[in-house]
Amino acid sequence: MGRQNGKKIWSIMALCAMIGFLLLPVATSLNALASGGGEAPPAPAVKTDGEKKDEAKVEKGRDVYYKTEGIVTGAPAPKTVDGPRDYPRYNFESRVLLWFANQQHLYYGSFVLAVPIFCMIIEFMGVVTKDKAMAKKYDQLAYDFIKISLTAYSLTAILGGILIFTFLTLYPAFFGYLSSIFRPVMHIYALMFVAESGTLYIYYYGWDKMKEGFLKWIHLSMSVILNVIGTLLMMLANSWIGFMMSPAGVDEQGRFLGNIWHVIHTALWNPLNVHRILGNMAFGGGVVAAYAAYRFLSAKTDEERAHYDWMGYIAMALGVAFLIPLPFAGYWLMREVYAYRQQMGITLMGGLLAWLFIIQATMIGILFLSTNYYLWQALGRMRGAEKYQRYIKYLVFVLVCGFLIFITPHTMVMTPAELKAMGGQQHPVLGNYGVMSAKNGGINVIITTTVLSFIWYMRGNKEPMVPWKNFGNIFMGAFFGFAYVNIIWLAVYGYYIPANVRVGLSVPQVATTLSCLFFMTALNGFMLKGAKQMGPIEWGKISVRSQYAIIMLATAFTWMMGLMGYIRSSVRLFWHVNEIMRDNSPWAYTHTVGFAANMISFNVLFFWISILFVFWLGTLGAKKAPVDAKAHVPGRVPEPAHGH
Amino acid sequence: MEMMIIKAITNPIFWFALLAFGVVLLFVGKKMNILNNTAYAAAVSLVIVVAYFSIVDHYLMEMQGLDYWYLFRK
Amino acid sequence: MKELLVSALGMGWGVLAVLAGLLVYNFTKGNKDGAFKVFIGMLATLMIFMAITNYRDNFFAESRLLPVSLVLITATTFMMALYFSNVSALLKIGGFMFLVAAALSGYGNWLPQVEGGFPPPDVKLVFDAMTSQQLADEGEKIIFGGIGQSSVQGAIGKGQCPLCHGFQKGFLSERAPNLFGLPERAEKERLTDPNYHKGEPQKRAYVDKESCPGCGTATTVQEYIAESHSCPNCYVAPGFGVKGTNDKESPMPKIHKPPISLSLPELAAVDTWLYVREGKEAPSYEDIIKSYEKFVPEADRPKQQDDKAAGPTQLLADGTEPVDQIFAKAQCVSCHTIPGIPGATGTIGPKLEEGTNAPNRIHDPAYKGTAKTTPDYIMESIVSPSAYVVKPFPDNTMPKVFGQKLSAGALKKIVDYLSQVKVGAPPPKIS
Repeated sequence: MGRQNGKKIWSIMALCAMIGFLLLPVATSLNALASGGGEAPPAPAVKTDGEKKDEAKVEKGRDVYYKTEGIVTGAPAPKTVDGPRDYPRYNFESRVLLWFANQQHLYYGSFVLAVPIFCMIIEFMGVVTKDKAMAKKYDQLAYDFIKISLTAYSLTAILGGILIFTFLTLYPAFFGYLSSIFRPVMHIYALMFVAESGTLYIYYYGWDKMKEGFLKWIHLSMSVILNVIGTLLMMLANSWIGFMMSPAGVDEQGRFLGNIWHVIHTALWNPLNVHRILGNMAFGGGVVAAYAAYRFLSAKTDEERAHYDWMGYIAMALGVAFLIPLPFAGYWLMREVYAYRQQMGITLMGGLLAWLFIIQATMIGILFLSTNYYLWQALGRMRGAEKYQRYIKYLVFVLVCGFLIFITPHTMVMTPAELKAMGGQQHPVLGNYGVMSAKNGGINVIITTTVLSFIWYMRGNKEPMVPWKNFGNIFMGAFFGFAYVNIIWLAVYGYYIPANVRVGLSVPQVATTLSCLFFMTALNGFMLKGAKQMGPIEWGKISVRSQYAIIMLATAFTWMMGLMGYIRSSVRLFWHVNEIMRDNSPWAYTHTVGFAANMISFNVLFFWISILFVFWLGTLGAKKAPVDAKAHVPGRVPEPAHGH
Repeated sequence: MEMMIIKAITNPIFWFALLAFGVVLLFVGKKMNILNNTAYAAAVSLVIVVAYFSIVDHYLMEMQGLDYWYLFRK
Repeated sequence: MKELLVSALGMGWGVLAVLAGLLVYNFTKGNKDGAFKVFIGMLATLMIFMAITNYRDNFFAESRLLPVSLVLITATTFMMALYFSNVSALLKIGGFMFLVAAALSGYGNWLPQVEGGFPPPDVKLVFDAMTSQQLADEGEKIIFGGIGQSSVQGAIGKGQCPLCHGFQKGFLSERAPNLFGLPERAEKERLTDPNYHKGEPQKRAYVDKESCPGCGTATTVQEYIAESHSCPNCYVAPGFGVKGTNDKESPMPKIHKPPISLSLPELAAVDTWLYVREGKEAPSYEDIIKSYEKFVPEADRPKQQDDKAAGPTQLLADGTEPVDQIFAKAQCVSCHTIPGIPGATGTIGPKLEEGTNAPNRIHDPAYKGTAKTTPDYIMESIVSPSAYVVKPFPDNTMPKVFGQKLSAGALKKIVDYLSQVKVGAPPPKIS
């Protein structure tokens, strides 16, 4: 036992040393920055007149966001003019090319950032699981995951290169300005990318060598490092888009004021970070699930089907687990946008881009509907789940009602003629369902129903045996029943009270949904302790349709990511850097919704075709992987997991 | 009379009392082994759940400086 | 359809020719199965090229036919999946993805198409040359700070109107009348109110009888609005007077005078918005200006400010002014009573004697903020007013924009001054 602990301590020390070693170049360069890049004074901005005269020699500027004063150390943002000097082009819209390059890089980038996080979680599960066979299974799964991401990793790097070249050739003035501001950050970024690659390759190729005892812990620690570096990489990249949306650390003319931390730490940086990490995870889950679905559909044997059914289930569960907190991160981001510039928030939610949010609302509905559909189909894996299946039709009804209310628009940008025709900004009938409290009611009903579906799925093949099971069931029923009542009541109540009180109603609505999620899953867990199993989960015994639900989920999620990225980017309207550097190219206008939708579809399909190709390449090399894994546990029915 | 009722239900203490009452009923039911009786269980659940959601609504509105019982007080 | 076929053939004839060769080869070898597969392949190729050409032709057009291409590809892949069983899963998945994308694309194309126009050129606003819609938009900017802001809780522009007035039906508006439906009510309720004394200003019982000697009273709706803006004390809507004056005096400042100082063209924009947003025909720009000229003497008319100064990054005070001016410029005085500051007699917010109050508030059990010292507390109250709300005043009344609208220097001056104000002590010196 003591030896085991000693090993753990060693591994932790090794981990720390490795992190320190990898971050050393970054730390040293940061030091150099702090001393060489200007003293970065958050000094009080108040100066008496006398002091001001003394410092007249060095030009000072005021930070547009932090309001501190700093010494001007950079050139002002260039005032571009339309022409071959600032906007060289092919015979095509430059912005669309850049859009494509950016989006592909982002898709692959998020995928390769998300997969190591899954690997870490699954490898850890494998290490701590007592069941030897299960541990093997998990380990193999984690290995499969990282294998998928490896090809994608080099594609990410290639796409990153393409992106930079696109920037340099099509938007030289803008990219020059951006890189002059972020010069040190871009170098750190490059260094960290090297560190990331190194760790990833050691991690992947060392898998078999490091699978026992102490070395396994080191290996696991390495996945932690890999993710730390990956997350830092993403945060640095986020600082660029954060700067473009909500610049800081520069004065009104865009001159750098010597404090690099202000430039990185802009108003929207942290909300973007959180939102993107969660989004990447959900996206990564979707892609891996789609991979599993593909392997399931092309499987020839029952063993393969069982393995990939299980894999799809795990990936999908992880993805959805990160999907649920995503709206809250989005809400935070939105609040920060409003706090930064109210006008920007309005453009997003009520102005030019509002229709895109209608699409987003629809897509959130689709995501939840597909999740529900998958869970219902998954009931088919279990004996004894028939008792729930006949109630599904009622859930469908509830979901559809919630969905329809959720997507009803409230106010829209309209031409004066349209406005007259409709007699105001709101539709005389539908307008009533479009107010926020009704919408919130709709989405909360949908999420609560998803929770209910999940709980049914958990209980599918089990019969609670605790002595208070009757009370438990009734209590659960009452809780869900009143959760629905409360959500709908709050939605209706919103019509009878002034708007400024109504806005607060969404908080108790969300709290109701979350109460269901946390309390009811916990209660269900207690009730199922020592429950009677009515039969094992028969992995692989799931309908083909369910796999299409997974693919639908993955595609819809990719599409939504493209959509939200487009919204985030186009909210700057005609600015390269918001309020600092104007876009004077011929493409400074905002596209129509339809064009954006077509473009997003194109990006999504391009990504999926290329990644399906990557998957297909993977099958060429490793046809036997799941069979091998099975060989370690001879005489066992394919039954990869007991838990959920 | 009506005023009294409104005063009572708009006071969170009332709902806390109801919640406490529900919990007491729960333990009493457990002691007397009637918890699995459908009618009794339904009654207890109802009391707890209604009180719980009222408290959630009240406090989460108050947290934002708003009044959940706006319509009732008017 | 025919053109599509022709252009598809024009694009894909090479591939089709190769496939045709393969077909002939298979036939001559007697490989019936292979030949059939190649035939299917040719059909699929043709469909894919049709989809591609359709996509290419419609890429930039206002056409909503693009998703058709995607559906076409879905059909193609499913057809091929039937015959090419070794990659059928791949084909079906790909095809399904195309279908999902087509549905989403189609949805996007089905929605109304709005294109954001080119950025507005940096020009000075010329109010008298605008259409009434443009004028109304400018008015909305002045009232709420931006177009489309009128339905947003707490949005506020340089006119500061939403601080007291509600504008939407049903919005809480306790300090001043809700202005929803004003053009109608001005006609039906205000001008005919016996207390208004239309045409007989001398009979009025209010603090001011006329906007200027000889100005008279309003006779039309527009004149009523103009008079309310320039002489709030000439008529007070029942229930909205300064407390204790029996509705004889209005808490509203004269809008054309400092600190708000809207110019006549700006006021015209504001008024135009009041009509247009309710779908009413607004009086012409000239008529509105005339109505104001009736109530505002030449000498009192403010010059229109430089537009640049009205931008969103404009500071209300930069910290070089004496503190009393900062209080006036930031509008503190219209809501708060501040001992020692002339004109600061507002009663909408608490009296600011923070040298005494702040320590008590910090120790209030209900205090949830983070301040530990008096200056911190004052700063917090200015920058995030909702951190602690003094009873019985309502929350969300004080604008939350002062952190951005005041320079660090100005904030520091305010904090310095207020932290020295104590109950019962003489007010500190203005610096």
